[in-house]
Amino acid sequence: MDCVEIKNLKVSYGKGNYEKEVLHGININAYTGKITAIIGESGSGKTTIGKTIQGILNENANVEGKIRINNIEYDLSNRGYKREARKKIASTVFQDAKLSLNPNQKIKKQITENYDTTDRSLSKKEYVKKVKVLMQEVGLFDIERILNSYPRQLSGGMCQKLVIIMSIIKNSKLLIADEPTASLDEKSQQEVIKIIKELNRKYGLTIIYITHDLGLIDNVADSLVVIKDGQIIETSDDIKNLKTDYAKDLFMAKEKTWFKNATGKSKLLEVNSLSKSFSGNKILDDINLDINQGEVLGIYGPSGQGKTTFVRCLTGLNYYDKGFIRVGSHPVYNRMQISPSFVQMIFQDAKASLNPRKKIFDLLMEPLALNKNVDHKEKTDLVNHFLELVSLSGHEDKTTESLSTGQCQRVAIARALISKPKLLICDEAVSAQDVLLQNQILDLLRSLQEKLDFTILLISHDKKMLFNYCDRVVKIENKKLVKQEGKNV
Amino acid sequence: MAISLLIAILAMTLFGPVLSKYDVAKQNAADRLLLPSKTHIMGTDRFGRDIFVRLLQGGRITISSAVTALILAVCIGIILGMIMGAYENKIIDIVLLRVMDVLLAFPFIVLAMLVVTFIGTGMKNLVLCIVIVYWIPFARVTRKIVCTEKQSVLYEAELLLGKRPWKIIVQAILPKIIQIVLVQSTFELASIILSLSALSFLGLGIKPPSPEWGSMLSDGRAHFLMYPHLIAGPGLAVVILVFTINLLGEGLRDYFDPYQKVELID
Amino acid sequence: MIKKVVGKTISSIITIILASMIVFGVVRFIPGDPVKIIIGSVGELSSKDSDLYNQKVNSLREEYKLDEPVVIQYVAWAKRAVSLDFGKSMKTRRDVKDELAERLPATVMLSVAGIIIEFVLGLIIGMLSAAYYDKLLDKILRLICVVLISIPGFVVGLMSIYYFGVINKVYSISVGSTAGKLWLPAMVLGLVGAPKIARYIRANILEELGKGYIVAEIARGYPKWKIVKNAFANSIPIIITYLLYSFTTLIGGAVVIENVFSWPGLGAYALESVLNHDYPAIQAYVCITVLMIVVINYINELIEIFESCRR
Repeated sequence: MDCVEIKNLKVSYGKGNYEKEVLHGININAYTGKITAIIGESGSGKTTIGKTIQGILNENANVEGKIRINNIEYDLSNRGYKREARKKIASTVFQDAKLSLNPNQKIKKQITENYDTTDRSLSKKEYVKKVKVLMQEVGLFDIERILNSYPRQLSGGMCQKLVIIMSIIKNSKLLIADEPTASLDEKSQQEVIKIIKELNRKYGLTIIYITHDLGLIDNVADSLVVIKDGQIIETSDDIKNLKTDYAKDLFMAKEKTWFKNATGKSKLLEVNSLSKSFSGNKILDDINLDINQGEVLGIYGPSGQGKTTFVRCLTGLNYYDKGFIRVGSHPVYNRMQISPSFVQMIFQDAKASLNPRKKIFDLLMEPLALNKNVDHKEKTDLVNHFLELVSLSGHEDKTTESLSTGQCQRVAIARALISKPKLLICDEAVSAQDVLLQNQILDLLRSLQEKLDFTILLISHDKKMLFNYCDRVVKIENKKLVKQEGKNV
Repeated sequence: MAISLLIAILAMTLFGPVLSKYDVAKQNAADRLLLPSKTHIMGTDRFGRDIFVRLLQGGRITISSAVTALILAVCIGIILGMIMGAYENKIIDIVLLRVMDVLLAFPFIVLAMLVVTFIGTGMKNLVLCIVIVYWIPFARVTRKIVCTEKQSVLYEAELLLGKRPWKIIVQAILPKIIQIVLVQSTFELASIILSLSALSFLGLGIKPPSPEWGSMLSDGRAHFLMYPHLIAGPGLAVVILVFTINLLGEGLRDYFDPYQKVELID
Repeated sequence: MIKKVVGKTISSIITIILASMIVFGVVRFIPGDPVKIIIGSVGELSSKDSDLYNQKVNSLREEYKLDEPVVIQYVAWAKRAVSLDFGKSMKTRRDVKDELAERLPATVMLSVAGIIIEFVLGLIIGMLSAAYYDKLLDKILRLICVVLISIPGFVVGLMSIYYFGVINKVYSISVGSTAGKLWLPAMVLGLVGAPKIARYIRANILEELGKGYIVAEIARGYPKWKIVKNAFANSIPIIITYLLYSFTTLIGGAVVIENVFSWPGLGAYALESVLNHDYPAIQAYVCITVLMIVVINYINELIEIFESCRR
């Protein structure tokens, strides 16, 4: 069958002893007119593949390999190929649409600038007309207003649609979509995916769809390539029948559910009519929430609409303006009033939250050092105990440099829990990791919860995971809180 | 650029301090009048003093005053910068920012002129001039780093653990500050040396018979049209010294902070 | 946004006031009786003839209100300063105001010419350096920049006088500030300042080139010149800010160059005044300079505010 063939692609960085190979001789076939999905976790090399095909890999990368398109074979490291790829062969849609547009130019200007790079088979007038037609097709109806706007005045979804238009209008043979929906809210995500499918159907466009989100590709991709650590694990045309264990685990992991805790426990804290503004902009408006002891509560919602601000108010890192947060009978306002033994937080980038110059042992000792009543031997025992709980005994003399992200996250968890908090807030703490690793951490949190008895508050943009994992799920959107129940046991 | 770094370090260590340690006595040699090169490697000045020897002597003066000024400026700058960052937007920060603004409102040479008007010339006063102005860039950079880092995950996580903010600043942020200030201080050192020479040249700094390079240049002005070697010597010395320092700085900076770019093809 | 503008205006005014206090204070509190200093350096009444001498002392005391509290002295001085009356030069006994006015055109000529050369050179070098990043051209240009930065302005000045004045005899070495003589000192000023500008522009363009929209444009196959043009267009506000800033440093550099080339401008005047202990003149010069600098910084900050509000 006719396809775009990538043969034996090797990419490495550095020279001699410092050479690090990122892709180890991979082969991919992307069938013409079909959507091929490349699935992999961050760091697996999938973005590198996309960039190599587009010819925009970094200057200091060593590239080896060939690509065959329409019966012409090109050398991927060749400068001539890179030029061809950028101008004619491929177009790329990147993750963050707003960053892909020139912030100081009106949309109109950017689109007309794009004209010069097309093959000029259309006159400029016809080109502009076609753009307007395409805009209507993708659902951008307020044409004149949009054309006269700057990117910052448009939504992420609109920007992404515009970027897609600019890409396909070049009539490239190949469209590469690198996580095109990752930065968008739910609604826009679905719209963009629909557009991509339509493009494929209507224009027969060959699409390579790069993502880490397995849930997406189910109804989108015709064939699937699974990549891990620079190697292809599996290639398949049938998602239901995967052969390798890794690929199967990857899909199964998505479906995992956990048992719910028994309900009816006492109230841990109460949030009442909470409001907060930043320099005149209201971020949270009249939030009411009760958090119960020992439960697992999930919070999701579009980015930038208050989830993180809300939990930061709970920890005291931000003050709030109106309403109150009550624990027991005391209202709490700021960090000074909340003790470390009440609430702790773990973050998305665990490595960044740990001092890289300190040994793990010392990192765990630090929170204890503030308590003068306990003697040294007891503290040491406690540290060792927690190391064991997170399966990191024996690593206490290392620094975070030599640890993997998963291990770093476990150190962060241990450090947070060693102060024996009643509430542990996880701000996107598992969002940056691959599904398998994610599940490991989630399991760990649950088992620790049983042993140490604390409440978990988990923020994520992964709605499905939250519904599988938490007792209750709430959504914070557009400054307000919307309650949604989870599945019952 | 890394190779230049090595050459730079070598050059600096060979020149200046090492060689100029001897030849102290020779400075007051017999008064001979103007003579170009040969027995005297760089000739003699209008009082018959060997220029090369004076260069080496002057090197010690220049380098020692410059380094002293730098160290003082760096220390003051970092400390004040940390205070400003830690108490961001509180009174002390606002006051210090105003002070910086006012000091910066004067061009350096003008400020030096004011100081000289007030307390006279001389090496100590010159160093004072420099410290008064040069602490500012370091304080600024330090303050910026502290303010940025206060938003970082590390800072907030440690705050939650109950750690005192100053402890976090010293333990986690200071190393970053030192790294950046290190690179910056090489460039500022070069600038300080240039400023020192300029001030001495104008007559505001170290005065003759002290063999500071700037004042040697100003000495030489009287006759250099006929005897350019009077200028060549000290001029070259300043240039080479500052050049090596700058190369050092460039090399350091490239090492810590390279740019990543996609190739532009037409 | 209005709030910020008002805030900046207030802080600029405060800066001017504080700076003027320093200027006033430094000169006023020089060790020694100011009146004796004023009289003494002129030498008219060195005979210390009792009556005449005391008369003069008293009249001067009154004129400068030396018997009143410091604050009042400052206010009196400030009032006169605002109307540009800085008194008489102690050396020449002429109005300082007039002397400054005489010298001003020369300095303005030099500064403007200098900054044009500096900026044009710096822009060209900076953009070339950025466009050919890490290629041979970039490395050569950067090396040249480092060399240029290492040479003090006055050395370049002296060397160029020697070369063009003695060897080539293209330049006449005399006192005076005719337009014909402008080219050499302006070029020297420009050469000395260009590398700094070049370096700054290079860094800014490189940073801009790393941004997302540039990558997208590269991926779409935009020609090189277009990409650099776009990156440059987005860097313009920052570059303009830097341009204004370097004007302020130029004011300082001009002192040295004016001295080297015997260029009768404000800078040379200031230097003379310092060496002659001509206090009114020093005060006047510093005030004018400070005012210029604060105004320029103020404009800069306004530009920044407008830029950030636009986002």
